[in-house]
Amino acid sequence: MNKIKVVLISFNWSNHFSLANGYLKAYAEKDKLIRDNALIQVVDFDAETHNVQQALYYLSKEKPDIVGFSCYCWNMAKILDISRLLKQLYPEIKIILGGPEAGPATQKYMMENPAVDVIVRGEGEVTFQELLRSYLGVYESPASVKGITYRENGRIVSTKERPLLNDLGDIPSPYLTGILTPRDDVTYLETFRGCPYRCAFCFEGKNFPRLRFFPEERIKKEIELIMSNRTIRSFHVVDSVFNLKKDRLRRLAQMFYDANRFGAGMRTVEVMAELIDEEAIELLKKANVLSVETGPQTVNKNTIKNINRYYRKEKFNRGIRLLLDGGIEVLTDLIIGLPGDNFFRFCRSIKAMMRLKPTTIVFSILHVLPGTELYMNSDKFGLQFDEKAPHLILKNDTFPYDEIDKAVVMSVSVEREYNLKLP
Amino acid sequence: MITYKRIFVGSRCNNSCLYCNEKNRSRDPELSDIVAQMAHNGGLDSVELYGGELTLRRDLFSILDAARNQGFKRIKIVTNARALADINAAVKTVESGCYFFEVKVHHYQPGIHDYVTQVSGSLQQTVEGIRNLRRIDTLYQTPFSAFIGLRISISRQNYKDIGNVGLAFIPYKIDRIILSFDDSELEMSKALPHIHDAVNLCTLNRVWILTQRIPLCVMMGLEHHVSEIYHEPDGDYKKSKNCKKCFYDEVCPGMSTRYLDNFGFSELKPISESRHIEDIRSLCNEQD
Repeated sequence: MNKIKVVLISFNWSNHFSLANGYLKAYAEKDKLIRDNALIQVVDFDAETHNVQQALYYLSKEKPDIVGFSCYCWNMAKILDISRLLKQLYPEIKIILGGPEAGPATQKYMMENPAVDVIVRGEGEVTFQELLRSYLGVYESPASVKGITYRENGRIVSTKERPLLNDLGDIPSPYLTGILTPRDDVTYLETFRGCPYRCAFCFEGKNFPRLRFFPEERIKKEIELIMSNRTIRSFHVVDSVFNLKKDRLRRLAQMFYDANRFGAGMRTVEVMAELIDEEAIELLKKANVLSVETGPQTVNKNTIKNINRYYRKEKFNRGIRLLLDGGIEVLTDLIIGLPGDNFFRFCRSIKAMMRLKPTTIVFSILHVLPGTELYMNSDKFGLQFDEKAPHLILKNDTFPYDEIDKAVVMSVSVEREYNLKLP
Repeated sequence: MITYKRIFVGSRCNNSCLYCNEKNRSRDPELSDIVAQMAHNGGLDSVELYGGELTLRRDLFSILDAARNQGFKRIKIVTNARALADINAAVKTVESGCYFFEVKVHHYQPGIHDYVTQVSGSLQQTVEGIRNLRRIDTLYQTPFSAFIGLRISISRQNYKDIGNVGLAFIPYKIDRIILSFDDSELEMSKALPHIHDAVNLCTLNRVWILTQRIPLCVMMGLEHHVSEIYHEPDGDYKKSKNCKKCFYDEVCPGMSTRYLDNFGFSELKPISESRHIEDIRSLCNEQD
C-alpha cells in the first residue's frame, strides 16, 4: 500500500520555522502505524514574501492526501484562500486547520469555509495523531477523536474536549529527532507551556492555565544541540515568562552556560520585569540572554484592571533599571486600543516608558483574539473589532476609532524616533 | 515625546527667512561653549542643535563628535538641508552620528519658499538635501534610515495652502511634520481653518503632525496635535486674564508675546468643557 502524504504548512514571520508543526510530526510519528503508512512533511513559508500561489504551486506538485495548516491571526486570511483554491483544484484533499486562531472559533470558520474539513481545537499533538490514525482506518469515523470539529453528512460536528497532555515529555523533541534543524537567529526553544498570569488579551494564560514543563534532561539535550552548532549566534526561548521561578532559572542558566562554547546568545526572551532582582540579572547574564521583552502594555490603572494585567510600577521600574545596568537590552511593549485607555492615556504610557529609557519600545495594536477574555467579554468594554483575522480593534467605550487611528499614526513616528539611536 | 537638550549653535545662516526667530542673536557660540552646554545634559540622552544653520559651521563634525562623546544617543539638527544637497556632506553628517533632521520648509513652490528664505534656488537645494538623506541607506547599505521631520513655518505667504505644503513632501517619507505659527503679522483666526485641514490631511496620509505656538483653545477636537502638551514650551509665551477661566489654563502656555502685541487676546476664548482635560493634565504631569 502506498503511504499517504501529509503536508503541514505554516506561514511564519522573518524566516522562522514552525515549532508547532515540528511537534505535530514528532508526536504523530511515535505511532508505528503512522510511521509505516504516512509520509509527513513540514513546510515553512514566509508570511511576508510568500503568497497563496506559491503555496498552491508547491501543493500541486506534491499532491498530498492531507494538508494541515498552523493558524495564527496573521496568517489566517492566506490559509483560508489557499484552502478554498486547493479544494477547488483537488476536492479529494483533506484540509485540517489547527492553532490558536482556528481552534477557538471552529463554528465560524467551518461555516464560512466549506473547503475546511476538520479543525483541531486546543493542544494538537495527540489529536492530530489520532486523526491520522482515523484516516488510516483505525477508527470508523473521526467521531471518536476528541478535540476536533468536522463535517458529517453536511453537519458540523464537534467531538468532546481533548484534555491537555499531562506530561510534555511524551512529545518527542523535533530537534533531537531531526525533524527541525536549528538555524541561526530563527530557532525557537520551548521549556514549558502555560502562563500563571491571566492577561485578558492573551491566549496562553486562559487556555493553558496550568504550567507544564518539558523534562529538564531533554531541554539540556536541545540546548546542547543548538549551542554545539557554531553557526548559531542567537536563538529564542518562547516561554511565556522565562524568569518565572528562580530555582528553575538557576538550573536553566547553568545548562546554557555549560553548553555555550561558541558564545551564542538568546534574544527577546519574555520576562516579567517585576520579578527581576540582582540574582536574576546574574542568571540571565550567565545564560547569555542578550535582550528581553516585557510589558507593561499600559501604565494606566483602570486599563490594567480591565485587562487583568500584573503590573507593579515600582518593581517594574526597578527591574528595567537592573536589566539595563546589567547590559541586557530591554524591549518594552505597549498596546494601542486597550479598554480603559484613550489617546492621551496611551501617550502617558509612552511618556512613562521613555523615562525608563528601555532599549526599544514596541508598539502594537490590540488584536481581539478568539479564545481570549477580551474576545469573550467584548460587550463589557464596548469592544468593536474586525471579525476577520487579525481581529484589529476598531473602538472601545473609551477609545473611539479616530483616536485609535491617530495613536497608530503617532506611534509609527514615535517608534522611529525613539528606537533609532547611536549604539 | 522625546525631550531633547536644546543647544543654540549660532545664527549664521545661508537663508534669511522673513520670520526667523534666531537671526538677531548677538554672537555665535564657540565650540567650547557648545561642548560645555552638552556637559550639562540634565540626564537627557538626546540633543537638538539649532540655529542658524549648523551645517555651515566649519567645526560641524567636531560638534557632532562632541555630542557623541558626551554620550548623547540621538543627535538632531534643525536645518534647511541646503548643504546636504551635496551627497558627500549628507553621508558624512550621518556617519558622524547625526540621524535626526528637522528640515525647515515654507512651501513646495520655489517662488514662495525662496521669497520667504530670501534666497533664490533655496527650495531646490533643500529638496535635494531631503532626497539625499532619504537615499543614504539604500546607496550605502546603512542598517537604518535617517529620521526626517519637517518644520513648516505658517506665514502670510503659505497659510492658505499649508495642507498641500505638508502633502508635497510626503513622498520623501517624512517621519513627522511640525506646523509652527511663526508669523506675528498673520491673524491666527484666518489661518486656523487651513491648519485644521492640514492636520487632518496629514493624518489621513499617515504622517504624524504637530502644531506649535497655537493655543489649545483654538485646537478643539485636534488637541492631540498640540506639541506643547508633550514638550515643555520653548520661547516667549503669554496669557490673558481670560485664560484663567479656561479649562486648559493649567496645561496651555498661551500665545507668543509678539503675536499678542499685534493682535491682542480677542481670538483666545476660554474653554468651559473638554472631555480630554483630565487626561491631558495627567499626561502633562506624568512623573516617575
